[in-house]
Amino acid sequence: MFWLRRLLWMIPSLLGISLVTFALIDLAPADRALLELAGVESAASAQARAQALHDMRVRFGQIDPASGVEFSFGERYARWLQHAIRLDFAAASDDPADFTQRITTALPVTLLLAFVAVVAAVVVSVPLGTWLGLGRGRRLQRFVSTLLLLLWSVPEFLLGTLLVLFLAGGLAPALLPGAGLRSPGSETWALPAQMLDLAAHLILPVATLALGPSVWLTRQLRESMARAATSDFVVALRGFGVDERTVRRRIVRNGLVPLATAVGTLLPMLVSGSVVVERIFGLPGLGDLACRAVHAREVPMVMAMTMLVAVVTLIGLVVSDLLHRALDPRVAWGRR
Amino acid sequence: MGAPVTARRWAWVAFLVLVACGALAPLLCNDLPLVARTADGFRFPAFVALRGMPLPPPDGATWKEWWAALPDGGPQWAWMPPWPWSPNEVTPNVLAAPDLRHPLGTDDTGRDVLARLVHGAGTTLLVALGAVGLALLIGVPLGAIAGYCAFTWIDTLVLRVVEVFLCFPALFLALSAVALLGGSPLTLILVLGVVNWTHFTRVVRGEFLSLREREFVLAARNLGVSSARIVCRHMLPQVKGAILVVAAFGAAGAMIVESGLSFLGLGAGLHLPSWGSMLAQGKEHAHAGAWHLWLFPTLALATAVLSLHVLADARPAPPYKRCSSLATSGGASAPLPSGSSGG
Repeated sequence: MFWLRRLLWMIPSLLGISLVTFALIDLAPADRALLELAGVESAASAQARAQALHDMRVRFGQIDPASGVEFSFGERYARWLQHAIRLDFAAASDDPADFTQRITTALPVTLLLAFVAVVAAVVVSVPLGTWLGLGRGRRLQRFVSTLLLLLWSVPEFLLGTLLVLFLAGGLAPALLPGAGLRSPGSETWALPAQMLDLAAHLILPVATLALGPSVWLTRQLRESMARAATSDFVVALRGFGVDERTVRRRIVRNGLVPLATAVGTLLPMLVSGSVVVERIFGLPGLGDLACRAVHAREVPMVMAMTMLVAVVTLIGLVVSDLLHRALDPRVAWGRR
Repeated sequence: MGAPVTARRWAWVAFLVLVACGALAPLLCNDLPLVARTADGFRFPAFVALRGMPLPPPDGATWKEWWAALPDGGPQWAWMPPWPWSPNEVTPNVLAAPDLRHPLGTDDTGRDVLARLVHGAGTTLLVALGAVGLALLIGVPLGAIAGYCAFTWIDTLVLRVVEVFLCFPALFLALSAVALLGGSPLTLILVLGVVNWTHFTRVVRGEFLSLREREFVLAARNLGVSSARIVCRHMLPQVKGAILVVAAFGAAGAMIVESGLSFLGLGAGLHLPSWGSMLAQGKEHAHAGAWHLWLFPTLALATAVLSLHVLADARPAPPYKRCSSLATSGGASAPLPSGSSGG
């Protein structure tokens, strides 16, 4: 029942994530209540301000509403967790429905972007990594490896800026759309035309987002292919006189197994990248929302999203772990 | 294995130039004289400015005007920095293309791009090296303890904590920290250090898992050497190379996050010049023909990150990887493990 154990182990990890998130808010020297009130008009009297501050502290669970005594760290965490479990991060926001709605409209955009980028990265890196791990053209291989290192040094925001400048009409004539998810007025088009429009708008953002992951996956696959090619079962197969094509197929199948875990570990990279990509290409996703929230000093929104992203990443890690285990029985859980 | 020797040498040169520029930026590019002989004795405005505001010159509004107005061969003189422009010095010629006066041009408020690039190296380097240092201090001891006590409850605990921190994407955590604490180099160092330590822990633990089974550890233990001494004096020196690789990759990653945040306008602070914010500015003014505004920050950032990646990649392959000729000697397709990447 390894998967049950793995799923149960998620509980302490989830608690850990919530503790880190809460500690970040709570231990920050800036007083959240004061920060929140700074946006409100301060025309009121000193007494009204003190009352508002008191109300805000009660709402944040910082002080006891009856006595006005400050809670201890543990109590504050427990109170915050009670809200967080019910996905009620909006304790400080004036309109909880709007708060949730903003996240749920932004989430699909980021998920679409990340999904297409993962697919693109896998499609590029599997053949390339296999060829680099098994191939015999050593000079060409070394050249491609160097090229990969070069490409890996290009940060997303740099690549995105260059693509916007040269392909989306910054400096050269625009070949591809470089802003938004759809052309203006495309709502009235036929469905196939809308899909094509969406695909055209996705090319540049996905290319920007997928570059780093593709290079990283290629390098991982190159290593795992080379490792598979030198393992004992290859010697055994050759000793049995199995033909070279079959041996090669076995090597590739074994070398592909770490792909499952690798895709899981890509998730944090993709989320970080999507922040930048969404800003550059003007896509209304989670990263864009986070940037706006940070600019507006909207702490509850930022923390809710940090926690959301961390939980999604944890789920991704666990799923890829389970997948790896299912694909490769040699991996005993807990002994890696 | 890894990058060729010439590439490694150039990477060292680029990295050391970057370090030198970053560390000496206030003395290399500044509008204050290093040494000034005024009517009332010697003054050192550039050095005083490192700790606070320097005193104004005896006459004239700024030190630079005082310097420009000095007569030749008089009793008063000044020794200016090699590049007498400060990164925040506003001049009337806005968005000037590169010429002899400003070899890399000026930006949209007429500030010298070369001076801003050199000072930007300082900001980037401070964040990158600070973050890696902090990550090293947290990650290596935890990884060593977990690897030495492998498969005990201590190991499990460390692995769980690593998993928790693995779930926070660096840029996102940095964003929330900037929202809460405000953007400053210290904030970025703290956040990136807290995000990056897991890499050190995982690598050190992994290396320790195989090291603890080796004969020299067994021998030391049988001689009655204490566990702390075995870890510090016998095992840790063996993983030095792996730690350096992780450190180089971590520094490159921290640089990317720092400039990415600055690009979004949320970086180390608005008053500090940074490559990321320069690039954002360049993107804004690209269609106005100001190509120098995006080209030079791009080159600087790409060179810095690439040099660190090459240094990390240039690690010699560990000895156990070299004797993998068992399968390759007989087979027709002779596959060799190509390169030694540190993922």
